[in-house]
Amino acid sequence: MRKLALSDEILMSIDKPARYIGNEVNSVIKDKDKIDIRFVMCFPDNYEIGMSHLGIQILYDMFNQREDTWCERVYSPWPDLHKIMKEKDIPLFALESQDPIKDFDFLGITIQYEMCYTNILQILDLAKIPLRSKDRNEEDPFVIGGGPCTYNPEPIADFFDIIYIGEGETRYDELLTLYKKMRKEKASRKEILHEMGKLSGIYVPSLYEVTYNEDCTIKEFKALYDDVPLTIEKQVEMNTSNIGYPRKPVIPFIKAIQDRVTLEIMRGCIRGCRFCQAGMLYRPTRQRDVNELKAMADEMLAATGYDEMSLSSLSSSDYEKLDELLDYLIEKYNGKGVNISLPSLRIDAFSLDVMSKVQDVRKSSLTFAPEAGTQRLRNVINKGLTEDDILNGAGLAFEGGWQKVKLYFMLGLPFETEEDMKGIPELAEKIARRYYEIPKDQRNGKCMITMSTSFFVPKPFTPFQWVKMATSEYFINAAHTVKDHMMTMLNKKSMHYIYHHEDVTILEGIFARGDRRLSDVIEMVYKNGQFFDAWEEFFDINKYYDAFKALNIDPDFYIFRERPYDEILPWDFIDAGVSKEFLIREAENAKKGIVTPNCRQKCAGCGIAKYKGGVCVERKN
Amino acid sequence: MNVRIKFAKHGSMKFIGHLDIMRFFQKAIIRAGLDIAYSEGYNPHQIMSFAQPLSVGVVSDGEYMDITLKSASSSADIVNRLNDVSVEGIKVLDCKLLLEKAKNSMSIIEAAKYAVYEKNGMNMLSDIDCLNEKIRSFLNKDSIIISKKTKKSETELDLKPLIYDFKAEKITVEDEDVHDQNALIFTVSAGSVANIKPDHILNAFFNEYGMEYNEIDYQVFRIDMYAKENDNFISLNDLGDTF
Repeated sequence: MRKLALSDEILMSIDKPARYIGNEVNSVIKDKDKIDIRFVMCFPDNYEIGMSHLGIQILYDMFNQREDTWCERVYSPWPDLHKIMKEKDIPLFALESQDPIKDFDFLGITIQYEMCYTNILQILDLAKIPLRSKDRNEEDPFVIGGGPCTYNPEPIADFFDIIYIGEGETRYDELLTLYKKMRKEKASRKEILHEMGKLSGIYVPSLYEVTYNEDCTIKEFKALYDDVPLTIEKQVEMNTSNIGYPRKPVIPFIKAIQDRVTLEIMRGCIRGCRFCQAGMLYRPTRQRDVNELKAMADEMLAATGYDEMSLSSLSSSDYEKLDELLDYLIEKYNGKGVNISLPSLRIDAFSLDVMSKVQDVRKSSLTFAPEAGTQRLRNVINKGLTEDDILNGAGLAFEGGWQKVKLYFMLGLPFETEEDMKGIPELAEKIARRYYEIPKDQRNGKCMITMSTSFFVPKPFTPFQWVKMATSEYFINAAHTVKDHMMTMLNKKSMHYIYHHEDVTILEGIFARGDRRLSDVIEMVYKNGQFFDAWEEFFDINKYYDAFKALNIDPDFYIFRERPYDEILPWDFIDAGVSKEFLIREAENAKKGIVTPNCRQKCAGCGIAKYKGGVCVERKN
Repeated sequence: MNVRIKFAKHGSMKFIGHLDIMRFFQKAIIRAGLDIAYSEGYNPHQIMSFAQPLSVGVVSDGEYMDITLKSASSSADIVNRLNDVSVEGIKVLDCKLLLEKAKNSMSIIEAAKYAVYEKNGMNMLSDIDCLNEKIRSFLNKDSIIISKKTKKSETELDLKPLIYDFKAEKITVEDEDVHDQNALIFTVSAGSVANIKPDHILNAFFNEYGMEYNEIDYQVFRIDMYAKENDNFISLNDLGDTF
């Protein structure tokens, strides 16, 4: 029987002990004496969030397919356990073996959102690994980062030995094999890092140096050695049959946030919304083979016993064989206790037909993401959803028996005016009127239209990477404008408005486009006792403002400043595939409100065609 | 057809709560390919019920789950299939076919048998003879009154008629790596009429002798659960037939 790292006494005294004991169905146990590489994969948030992440499950499966490697998992201990581990000096451990993280060769951390940066330090601290790469020695694991936030890794670069830019499928085998070979040859940590830094897509921050101008902008980003690349090229798996999927997903005992099988049908998005970082980073759009997807769905459902499967992609309606895939899944699994859930679908006759087959119409709600309240602003952000699309979709849905509609918007988009804010409840009003056009005896009471707004954060590698972000005051005023205007609507009783706190957004904005100097801020905030920033109950922006002040760093520099096109941006050394010329072209189109057609309609020449695959070649074969 | 599955829960699995064990079995049944029956309605669920939840921290050799199958192979095949897809610490021990009209285990359970042994080397249970002496005088009292707290109120309850058996003796629990260790073993009322938890007994017994029962120093182990037939307790596992 496995021995647990935590005593019964501790486990009985904390919330949800199941977070820390491992032993889940499909978790992998290997004989540690028979393997060469011990890898522990971390999602720096709590277990329930971390276990919901598809990327880790893919990499876990991929690493464990290597006979010489054992990949395990670790998540952020909740503050109740954190306190006990600190008091009793218990080192952070991996779930499978329950061995200390410090015994591993690699600690891989996926970085999905900026608000987990302090949690990265919590993991390192509890694992007893020095926080900064430069302070680590031969005994310490190599700390490697990946995920969307690494497209601007600079605020956290000093905490990582290695950062992997792009999709894990392509380069990890090479990296692990190189490590194994050099370890056998008794190479030093420094030598190993130097060699890794020569691999495509692998960024070793310690091999580079950044100098700054007096105005705090970057003067130069330079390599410290002649033999490492000055540009780090994003890794993309171009053979869709090689895109990984967890053949046997690990099943948590406690309910995870996503408690279902996830079937990734497509990577990338053809739409080119100008605010959307994912739409730019994951280009080119690659559709998986429909027959492979059917087999994957069967395999994963059989291996887990889950009663729900969710299709995942940035825009499922753009998967061209969606009807064939859904027909198969509904035919095979409907009525057998398996639910199929379909997020990110465009609402039209086809999707409504499918939804009416797989969900309870009366209970479910329809989601639209117009993102902006007027067509003018939707053109600015290149959101190709028109008012007609929304009203027609909602009309069909209402006639099909739906009554609940959710609408997602952003406030603080570039070139936003008061008219755009007021356009939000006005759109809701039009939808409500569409509902009440249905004769009374054919409808089922009131409709409910929920408007939800988030605040826009400019992100690297988008056409808005140069813009000034809106201030807290602006966000609060904008939300009030929406709310006040909603109260003047005829059908206000059928509307509901939700908006999020703005202080988290401000911090997200600072980190999203930050530079290496911010690592001091993150470290100070963590050392002052704050982490789990993604959780409202633990987040306190004042701790950050205190740190900025103490370190004499001006946070406004990162957000409230329009950057000129020729400024060296902290992430310029990364080649994400989309060219700067394209981004500038799109930024200028946004100013003029010119819509750029999607990738299938017309190639916009973004630069990603150099990968020679996916949507870029779909019509040319 | 209704079958009763008997299973054991040991090791780290004692930290998995009742609802999560249910979810575990719902998925295990699918993985094992059992032909489970579903309820009617828009959100059909597997027809499944448990005899009684097991508290977090308690280990057991006598847990029961009744399920309805549309077809089934044999007891041995079902046990094997479930164990093939299970995890370390959850072991299916038996599978019995119930009579058509048999009531489910939840409604017929009348008693449960527990063993309690030390896990932190406190040596509070070191002298079996002395313990049995104390148990005898404990049970000889006119009444054993405890206060039972519910969400709303506190009520008094006499434990005496609800303790059916109580003794101290050595116990071996292979799955917990426990060998010939002294234990308090008792059978008490369980189910809907009067559900007595081990803590009730242990608090009352320890208090009687001026000691404090500190639950973290002891391991509670559920040995089995029983229904009553003609005034005799009969294991829930003995109410059906191997098939």
